[in-house]
Amino acid sequence: MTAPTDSTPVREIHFHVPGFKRYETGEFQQADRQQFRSISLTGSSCALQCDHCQGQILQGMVPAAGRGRLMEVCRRFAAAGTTGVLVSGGSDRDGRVPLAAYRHELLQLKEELGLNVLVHTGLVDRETAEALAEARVDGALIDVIGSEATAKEVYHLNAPPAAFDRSLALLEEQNVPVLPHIVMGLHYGHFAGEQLALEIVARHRVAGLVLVALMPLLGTPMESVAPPPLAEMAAFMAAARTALPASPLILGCAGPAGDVKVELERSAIDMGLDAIAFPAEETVAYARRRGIQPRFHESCCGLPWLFGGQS
Amino acid sequence: MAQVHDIVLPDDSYYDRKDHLWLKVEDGRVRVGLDALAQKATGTVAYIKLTPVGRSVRKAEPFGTMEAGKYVGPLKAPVAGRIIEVNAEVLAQPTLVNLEPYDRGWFVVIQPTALERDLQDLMHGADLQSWLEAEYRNYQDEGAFAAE
Repeated sequence: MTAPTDSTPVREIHFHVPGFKRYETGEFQQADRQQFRSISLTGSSCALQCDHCQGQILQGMVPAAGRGRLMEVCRRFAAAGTTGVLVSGGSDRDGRVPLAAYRHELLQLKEELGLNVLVHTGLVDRETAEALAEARVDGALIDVIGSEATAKEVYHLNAPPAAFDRSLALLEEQNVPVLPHIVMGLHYGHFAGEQLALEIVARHRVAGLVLVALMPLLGTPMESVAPPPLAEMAAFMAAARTALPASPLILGCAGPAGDVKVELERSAIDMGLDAIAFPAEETVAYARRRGIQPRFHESCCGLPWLFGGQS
Repeated sequence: MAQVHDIVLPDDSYYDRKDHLWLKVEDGRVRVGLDALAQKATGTVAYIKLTPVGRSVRKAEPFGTMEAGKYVGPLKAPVAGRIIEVNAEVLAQPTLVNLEPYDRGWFVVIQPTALERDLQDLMHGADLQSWLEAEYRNYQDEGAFAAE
């Protein structure tokens, strides 16, 4: 390997440590945990009660159900220095998050408070896609499931892969920036529809792709499920790099811990991924040893890519 | 004991005001774990690494690290001393911190070197209930509970 010169671009890797998770290592410590906040439009309720989460992920988001509550919560956040929010919520029986009803408030978050606004969409219908375009959200985050059996058994959702394809198409049609997520091992720790999900994502104009390794949650039917073998996840990351050669690839914020996490993140670097959320301390050192320049951000891992790679 | 909703802090322990570790004095030694408020905010504990038996630790310096749904970082010693016991069970099953924070979910036993001095910084006794209520409010306002 030759040393970089002024004309040789140094490869960078972006490490994201948003404040919804406390992060403190020898490499980096968050300065402002209020910068990026997560909000649930349905409180902790979710009609799907999927085997993976059963509404747990919503429990720690700040609840903002009901007319006017979203603005009230976000005004308080903005006054405390928050610059971006993820507006999420539980799904209805059809896998949709009730975002369309909040189109005016979502726009107000941007226009009045100057916040960056990301949304968790679930499945998207035309009304929701139009509402998100009207609200000028900065990004739509959507889980793409490429197996009807996984959607049904794990998410308790009757939705074939085509439903996710259509959601991406509707968002694309409305020019809503999209950052799809694929969970590796969602089918009880096994790969099932991930490859098809990747093919679906590759058909659309996306701001990037977030890969997430399954992280079992205590107190759910999947609490004892282990993530897939490291070699399978590494192979899938390589396949994603091939399928989306020019799109940012991000290893998202859930995932295994300990030695497996370190190995997975090393593979992510080796496979050419562009960003990792909440990296292990050893991962940062590994990147440096490979001559890759680490850059830390206290924002959600999607934000810089939705703004064209600028943080 | 002090209690707010489902969070209980037993009277027989001392509590680190910042990191919410509990500390129980047992024949001059101290057993250390994570209190119920912190474990609720931390989410599912996935991995724990602890300093081996025989090593010395300074107060407020790491005796290990922990990875959980909402936390990646050090476990800081509430007292100075030497590690004399490490909980192998919690290393093998980190979710014991969530399931039994005051029993099988403990981390280490420390032989303290300045116990009386170090205990002065910890929360204990009559103010425990009001402190827990204030801390619970702070955690709640910050949206600190759960979300992984």
